Amino acid sequence: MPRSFSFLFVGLVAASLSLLVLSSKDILALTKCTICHGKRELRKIQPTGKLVSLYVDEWVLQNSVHAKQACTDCHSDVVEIPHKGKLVEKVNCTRCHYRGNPAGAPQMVKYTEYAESVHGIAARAGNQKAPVCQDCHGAHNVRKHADPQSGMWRGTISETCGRCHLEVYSVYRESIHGRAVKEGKLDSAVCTDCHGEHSIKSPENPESTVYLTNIPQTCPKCHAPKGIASKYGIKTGQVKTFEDSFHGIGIKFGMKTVASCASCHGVHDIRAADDLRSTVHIKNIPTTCGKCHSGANINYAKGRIHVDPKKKESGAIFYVSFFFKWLTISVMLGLLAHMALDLSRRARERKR
Amino acid sequence: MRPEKEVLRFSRGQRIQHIILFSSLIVLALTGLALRFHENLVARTLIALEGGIELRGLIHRIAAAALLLVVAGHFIQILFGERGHREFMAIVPRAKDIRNSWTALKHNMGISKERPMYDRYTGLQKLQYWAVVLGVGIMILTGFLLWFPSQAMAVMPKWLMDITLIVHGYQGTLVFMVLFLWHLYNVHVRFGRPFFNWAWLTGRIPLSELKEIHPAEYERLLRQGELRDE
Repeated sequence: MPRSFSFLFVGLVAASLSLLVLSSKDILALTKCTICHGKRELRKIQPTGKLVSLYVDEWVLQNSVHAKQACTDCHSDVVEIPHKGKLVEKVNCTRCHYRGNPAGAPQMVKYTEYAESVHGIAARAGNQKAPVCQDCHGAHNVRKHADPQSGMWRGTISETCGRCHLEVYSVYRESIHGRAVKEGKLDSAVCTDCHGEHSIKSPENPESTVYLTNIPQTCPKCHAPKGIASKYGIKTGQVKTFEDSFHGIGIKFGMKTVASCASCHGVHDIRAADDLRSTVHIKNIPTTCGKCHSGANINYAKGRIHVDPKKKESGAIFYVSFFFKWLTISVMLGLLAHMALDLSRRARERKR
Repeated sequence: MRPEKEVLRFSRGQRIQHIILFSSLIVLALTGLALRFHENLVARTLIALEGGIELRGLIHRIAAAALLLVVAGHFIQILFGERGHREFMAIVPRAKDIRNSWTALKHNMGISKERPMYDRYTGLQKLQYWAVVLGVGIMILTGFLLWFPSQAMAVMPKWLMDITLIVHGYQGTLVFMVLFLWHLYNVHVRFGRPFFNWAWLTGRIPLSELKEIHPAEYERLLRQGELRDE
């Protein structure tokens, strides 16, 4: 990936430059900065007219993973204090977080996936609203993702995404996944489980984990047999029955006009089938199927959708399938027996 | 060696019908079984050869249309054609078929020396015809429902549609087995002389075969003066 390489290269150059600067100056102590930034009322008006607080909570910083870093380690463009109104640039995290950095700041391949993500591409194109590292991970409050105080913690990550994706978040929050997370079942799907983390791509991108034909690989990450879902007593046979259905076969062979999991169950609004608002509630089946099958009626709800002919609970479907299976086997044996009998007669006749 | 005397058994119309029938059934089987056993590597290769999943479906339905045409033609001949009607009456199962089949079974097992006195169609031939009529009939009926799912589901519940799919899949496999294993063995492959029975192409069978397999027909033809013994 040449692009991400150059990304790293720029970071490397920036880092070495700032090291030069820092070696000539004393590292600016936290306390020196908080003379001004420790005041809660420190604010500024942006050119857009927006009022921004410039207050930095020392406690927050000292409890972050960057507790040992000095302000100017990140805000490297501040070379004298006070910086007298000189505009301080947005922090570039790759100044430290590049592969082989001497400070030992973590850097994984997956961080570089950001450059190719929908967010990275938008940010590079100059979209001011596109998130960069600190928009998700926090600016001063960077913590490990296992830390419940972190915005990247499973319990709060959806809220973090929801800061920008407000509408989606408000729908997700009421879905079966969102509610489960709220109840403390942290295994339940959060944004990143379906969309990815640094690698998030647009749903229209065929490489996206939520692209139509990739959905049947994404949901089974939890809903496959013996997947996480089974831990909560959720049936997991649906993946297999989907794969054996016309929809599943069609998707597998590249058809784009057939339904995948999300086509019926919804996306952010997935609910339990017995929830009246669920798209797969019996009452809503005609509408849901009708999205593709014009004229769909209540007949679509008579019988199971995820039907397994090998299971007794499928009723008539099981018995018909059972009957035909044994019919096929006995006809096969009968034909073979007849052919054997015929061959032996021919052999006898030839001997004579 | 003197060329053996032959008698015409199948008319040109019958032979053409048979060719269209088995061609459409071969295409239907190849495209259908590929879908049914889609997880199998051979089936996946077949689907790829058939131009992908959507083209496979189109080919399957084109072959189905050809099958429908030949079936319709067949019944028109039976209902309105003199020869077609005569042939149909000859293949309708009768009580003596059971006696003949019993004799055939004893003969085949080597218990009895007596041969069955079959007329135009042997018990086995009748069985094969009616198995195909039943099998293909079920395939056409269920196939139609699957061809037009929206229209079918306007009156049929989902579970019946599931059963239709299962019946279509299994019945197709059964038809395939009966025709491509049994019928091919019974009728077309011979361990005597010649190895292959070319009657489906030439319409002719050796006189000796008529005497041996269809003795009643042979005697009848002699009586009716349509055949002269040499």
